[in-house]
Amino acid sequence: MKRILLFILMLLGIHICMLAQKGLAIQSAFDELAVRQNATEVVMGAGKLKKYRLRLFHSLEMKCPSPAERRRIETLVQTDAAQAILREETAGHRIYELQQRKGMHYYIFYRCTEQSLSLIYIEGKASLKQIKSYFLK
Amino acid sequence: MKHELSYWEALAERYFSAETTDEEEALLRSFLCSKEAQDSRFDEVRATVSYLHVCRQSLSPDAAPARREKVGLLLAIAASLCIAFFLGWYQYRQNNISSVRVAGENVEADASLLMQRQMAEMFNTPDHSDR
Repeated sequence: MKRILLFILMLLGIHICMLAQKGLAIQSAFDELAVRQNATEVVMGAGKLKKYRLRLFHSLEMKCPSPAERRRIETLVQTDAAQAILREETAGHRIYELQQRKGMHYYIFYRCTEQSLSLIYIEGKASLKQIKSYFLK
Repeated sequence: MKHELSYWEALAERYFSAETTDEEEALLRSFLCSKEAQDSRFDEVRATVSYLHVCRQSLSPDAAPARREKVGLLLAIAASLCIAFFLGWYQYRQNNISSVRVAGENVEADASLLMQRQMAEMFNTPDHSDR
């Protein structure tokens, strides 16, 4: 009986660990800011992203973000960026690739202008080069 | 030690007279399960011994906890299956999720188009530099 209960708890534990972006600081941005009036949140699962070889797309877009909102997201992105294995920072955007796990890539895309702010979290097997080729116009 | 059938018949009679010892009853039980005992002469004693054996088992103090343990095990298995089913369903739902929320409210919009626009904007920015 105890062993079965332990098995159930392990099953739940594994599942919680598998939940996307858990453990990342930017999770707070999605949790806190996605309900703001100027926020748009997009979530897409693997079933809709097969052709891009991605497993998860999660974005937060904010129109005319306030300085406080910008600072908050900036701080969270910087926290996760500290563990990035690859970074691409330009005046227009910032891309961070986090530690790969079992052939899976984890990316954080961040772009901030006066008019809008975009924070995107992506998981999948596609490399950054492939992602660019899919979306770069 | 092998006995004649007459010995077992006599033992059965003594059994009904309540004159047998525990060891003799154990021997009789073993014999009744053997090939030699498959004779109609032993049907009565076999039925009695079997019935008493089953009664003793079901009334023994160990029987109730064993049943409770079995029920508990079945419940635990059922709970595990329910949880596994729920996790599978949740995973399937997460895989096929496609949602757009504005100000925390779900809205009817093409998530795929929004994704493409957001990603294109991300890359098509001034001072863009490809690696």
